[in-house]
Amino acid sequence: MSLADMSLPDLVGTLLGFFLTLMVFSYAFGDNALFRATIHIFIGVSAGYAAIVAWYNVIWPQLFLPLVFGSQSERLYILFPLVLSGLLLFKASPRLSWVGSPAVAYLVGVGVAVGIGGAILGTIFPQTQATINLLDTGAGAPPDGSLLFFIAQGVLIILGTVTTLIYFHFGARNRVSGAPRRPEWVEFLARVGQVFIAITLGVIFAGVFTASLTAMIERVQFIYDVFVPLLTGQ
Amino acid sequence: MADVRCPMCGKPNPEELELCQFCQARIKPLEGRSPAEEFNSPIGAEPPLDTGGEQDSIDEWLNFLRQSEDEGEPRPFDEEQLADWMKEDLDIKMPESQEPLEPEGTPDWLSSLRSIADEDAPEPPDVEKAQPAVEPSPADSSEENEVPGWLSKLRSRRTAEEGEADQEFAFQLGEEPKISEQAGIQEDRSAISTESVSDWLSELRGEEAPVVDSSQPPELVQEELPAGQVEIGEEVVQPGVGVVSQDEDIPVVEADRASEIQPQTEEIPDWLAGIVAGGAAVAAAEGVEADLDNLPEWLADLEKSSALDREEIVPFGEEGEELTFDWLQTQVRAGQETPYGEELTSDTLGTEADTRGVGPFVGDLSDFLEEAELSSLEAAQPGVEQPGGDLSPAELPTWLEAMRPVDAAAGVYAIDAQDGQVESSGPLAGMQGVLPAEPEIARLKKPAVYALRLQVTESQRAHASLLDELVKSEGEPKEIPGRPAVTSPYLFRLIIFAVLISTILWQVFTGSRTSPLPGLMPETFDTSEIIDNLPENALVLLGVDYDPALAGEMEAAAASLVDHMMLKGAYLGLVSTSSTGPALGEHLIATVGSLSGNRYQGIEMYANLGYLPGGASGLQAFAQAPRQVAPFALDPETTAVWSNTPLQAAQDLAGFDLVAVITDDSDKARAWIEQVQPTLNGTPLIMVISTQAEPLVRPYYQANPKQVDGMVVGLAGGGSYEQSHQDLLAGNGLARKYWDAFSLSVLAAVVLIAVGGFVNLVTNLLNAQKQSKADKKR
Amino acid sequence: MGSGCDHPGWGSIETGGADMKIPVAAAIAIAFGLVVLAGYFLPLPELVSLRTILVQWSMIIASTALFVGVANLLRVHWFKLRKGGTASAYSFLLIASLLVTLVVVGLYGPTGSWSLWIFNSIQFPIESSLMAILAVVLIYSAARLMRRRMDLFSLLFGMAVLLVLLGSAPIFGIEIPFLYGPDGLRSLIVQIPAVAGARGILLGVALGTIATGLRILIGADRPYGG
Repeated sequence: MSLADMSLPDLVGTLLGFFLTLMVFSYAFGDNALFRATIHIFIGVSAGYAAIVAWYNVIWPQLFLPLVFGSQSERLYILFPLVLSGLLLFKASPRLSWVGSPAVAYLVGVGVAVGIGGAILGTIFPQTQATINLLDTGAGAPPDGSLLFFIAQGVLIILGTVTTLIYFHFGARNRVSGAPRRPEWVEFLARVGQVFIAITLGVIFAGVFTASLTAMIERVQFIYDVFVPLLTGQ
Repeated sequence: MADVRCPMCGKPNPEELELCQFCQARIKPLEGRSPAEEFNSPIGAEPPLDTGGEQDSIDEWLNFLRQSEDEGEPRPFDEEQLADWMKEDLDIKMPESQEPLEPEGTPDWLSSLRSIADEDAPEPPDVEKAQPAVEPSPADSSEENEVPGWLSKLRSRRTAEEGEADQEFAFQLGEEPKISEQAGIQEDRSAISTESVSDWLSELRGEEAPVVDSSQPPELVQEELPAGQVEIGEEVVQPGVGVVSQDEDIPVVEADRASEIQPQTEEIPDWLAGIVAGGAAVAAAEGVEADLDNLPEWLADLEKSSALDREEIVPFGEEGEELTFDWLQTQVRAGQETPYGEELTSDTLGTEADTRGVGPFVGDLSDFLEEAELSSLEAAQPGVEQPGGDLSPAELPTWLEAMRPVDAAAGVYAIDAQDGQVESSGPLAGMQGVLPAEPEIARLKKPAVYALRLQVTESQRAHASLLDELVKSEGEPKEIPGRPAVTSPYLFRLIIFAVLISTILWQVFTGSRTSPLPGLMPETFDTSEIIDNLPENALVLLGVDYDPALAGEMEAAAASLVDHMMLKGAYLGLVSTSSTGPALGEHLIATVGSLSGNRYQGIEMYANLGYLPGGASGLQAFAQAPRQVAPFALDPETTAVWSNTPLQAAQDLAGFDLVAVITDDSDKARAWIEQVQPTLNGTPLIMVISTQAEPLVRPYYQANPKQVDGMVVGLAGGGSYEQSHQDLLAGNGLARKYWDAFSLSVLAAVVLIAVGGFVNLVTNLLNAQKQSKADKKR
Repeated sequence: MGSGCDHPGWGSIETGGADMKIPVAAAIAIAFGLVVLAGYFLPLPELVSLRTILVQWSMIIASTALFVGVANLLRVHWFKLRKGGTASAYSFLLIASLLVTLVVVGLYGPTGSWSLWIFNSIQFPIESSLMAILAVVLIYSAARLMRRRMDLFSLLFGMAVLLVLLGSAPIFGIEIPFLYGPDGLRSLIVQIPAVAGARGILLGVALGTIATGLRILIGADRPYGG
């Protein structure tokens, strides 16, 4: 859509986005007041939007509507979260923040339980099974791939998985002389796992760069799409 | 056998002992002296010699003396009333007929001195010749009732000098009020009976000794005590030495007699020779007068205090090292008349003095004493000045001196010169070393002066100076070194930015579409198949769980997929665990619509279910009860989606035909997989993820059984999807739009990383070489 | 989060006959956490229902926590604004933008036109631009890697980065076979050693999550200040 086809709000919004993009790009030349101002505006807008979304999505329909328009059972249902939510508001006061500790404790307790359940049922069991099944030719061997490659791939993945787990094992026995050290065979395997970890982190780094590069391409494209029509008057 | 208690320490001792076996104090007083009387004697004074005197006889003559003073007339002394020990003294005072009295325990040097004096003395000093040096007192010539002029003179002189001495003593002890009291006590002592000392003085002086009426005691001039000597009552105390004299004035010796003493130097001990030498410089003696009428009571008690044998008293702890005046006084009093009878004439005293070797006493004795005192004071520790002012050494009759304690006992009484505490009141007034009745804390004392000088070592001094420099430098303005505006890291970052921007701009500007899109990838293929297999009007739960920062990549990766679903007519239910999710979902729908022309609008096509707070907890709750957790859509009408839209067909998440999650974060992807996937019950789960999340999501895709059924990874995945479905997005896919710029900028980035890394590697190696060379040089 | 132990109201409850103090917050966390965890493994309908209710309540309380965070942000910058100085201008911008957004989005809703206008015109461009700037920083840090630390693992890291980047797209339009494509080196690196390492990391993270969660559920750790 060209600038000429835009409505005034859209045009103003586009231009605003354009200048804000340039202000953020000015950081390439060093920290400056424009960049800082832009960042502060961004924080304010994102905080305000998040608060309204939380109100619209959760607080109003699940807390106040049942309290005001709901039945007795619905009110009873939301009594506990209502009380805890009220206590949690005291966390905004440094002097009375201790009042909100039960609400925080509730969040932590439930969140931790959810995390444990998900870790066990969603990662430990399936991933362990997947590691075991790497060498199971009947479970998932590629129809057109060579068996040798399949087995080699499986062995390598198993080796990498196990050695990576060993690397994160830091238990060691006390020694009479010197600091506690892991056994030699554990150290060797940990070194192997460190190789796999280094490769994995390198791949992650490359992925982050790719993502940021794509974002830069998108921004540059946006600038081009706005600037050129302004220049050419299109 | 009955035990006798020691008067000093109070411990029981056998009766036969004369000295205490614990403190060496005299248990049995010499010549009848009572233990109580011994207590009244100044500390440091030697106990009287044991002459076998009886206590009663002492008391009698003392009382006799007191009565004489009170009545103003010296009462005659009845010889018969004398105790044997007194008679012995009388015999001592008869030098012509009798041998000099040598009390028990007399040191050999004293005896030798006396013998020398006896040999060398030309003649007994004529008391009368000593008269010029002694002012004849107008005392009553009665030998029975007269108070020796020297005593009265002594008293008057003491009174005049008392104030001065009191001040000094008060300063030393801090007990000014007591000094006068002490002095008063001293004054209260009964005056000793008058005795002309002029006779023995003249004996000491030899031919030129003034002639003094034998009936009259030689008048003693109350002399100023030598420096360091302070009179305390009857005694003259030399600081550091002890009591060196009694209240009696020591008869002076004329200066001209000093020369006579000189030849005798060779024959006398060395210590005496020094005194003689000092005596040669003694000034003319002053007369000693004694006012018989004004004899104080203390003089009556002279017997008690004078029992200390001066010649036995030694400086504190220095027996025989320092010159004391005791032996001098002993010599002086050799011819002294005793107050006990007229038989004790000056002749006898003078004879006694001669026999005792008073040759050295030539000239002014006080001056001689001062010289010696000064010499002894140099080594002696400074002590407390005793009150009483300047007093000439008191004269002791021979018998009194014989009563003085022996040297062995003197050491016991030797007092630490530093403990100059002198009792100023009570029965122990004038004594040193008395345990104070008051607690130490209650007594006023001059506080001790401690050195406030800080002891600093050299290292501490160096550290202190260093710290001082540091502190000083803090206050000094320092010139801030100018920072260069352009540094190498800054330049490098600028170059990187310029290269990237220019590369992208070039591709964007040229609109290049030359780079081929990636081919079909396995994960993309799986995803495509799943979507292809969706039924008509399928219910698709679309999780929009990415941040606006990566919206460019995610939209480029997911736009074709969403368009594919739209083309399939699927009803989209948008949900997000981030607060910006609803807005991003709207933006995605709008973008896809603008690109493909398939505009999804209204609740009939999609429902924005909004935000699920709590992260994994919210997903778990939504997975368990989606209708309760997200009952309404975020449309302006707030539609109840679970009853008024196609979503009503889904009771739970398993009722959806497809769950597609668009996320840029591996943690969010893992939360969806862990919380939602187990509840799907066969419903496929596909993910559109960023390249940064791919390594941590791929294990779930590559798992067997799969936990993620399909995956579209980043711009390349989106391009691959667009490549396989070129009808999507009307050929205006974002991946296609960005691909050329992406490929060129990635190459530029690789080159920058490689070149920069190589330069840094070489720099590092060179620095390491330099460092190793520097270390080797060290 | 402040500690509740210092105040008698929420600090503890005295057990009868014993001197043991049980923090209230810890009791809440442990009790509700165990119920939710039990619902994962015990197929009891009531327990599952209870777990669902408890988790739904946590969503409501988490929304309130978001409000508390925004309120605290407002308070901090309000104090900075009152304090004055150079930073007060930035705080003014933050507070102004926050209040305007609250008003506009509150009036029109999260998906209203003006709400989306604010989002599309301000938040979206700024965040995207911040991510774009990150590319420069990442290149710079990758280039400096060899200068800071040079060992086998750094070399492996660098090589993986370069190979993955090179295999991400064609070079000048030319697809290098051994590098690019589904069978190329990049795909091999991503699908085999990276998956192995990532699987090990995922398992380790899951084990750590279980250990940390159990410590909280038994009361050994109390991050909520109980």
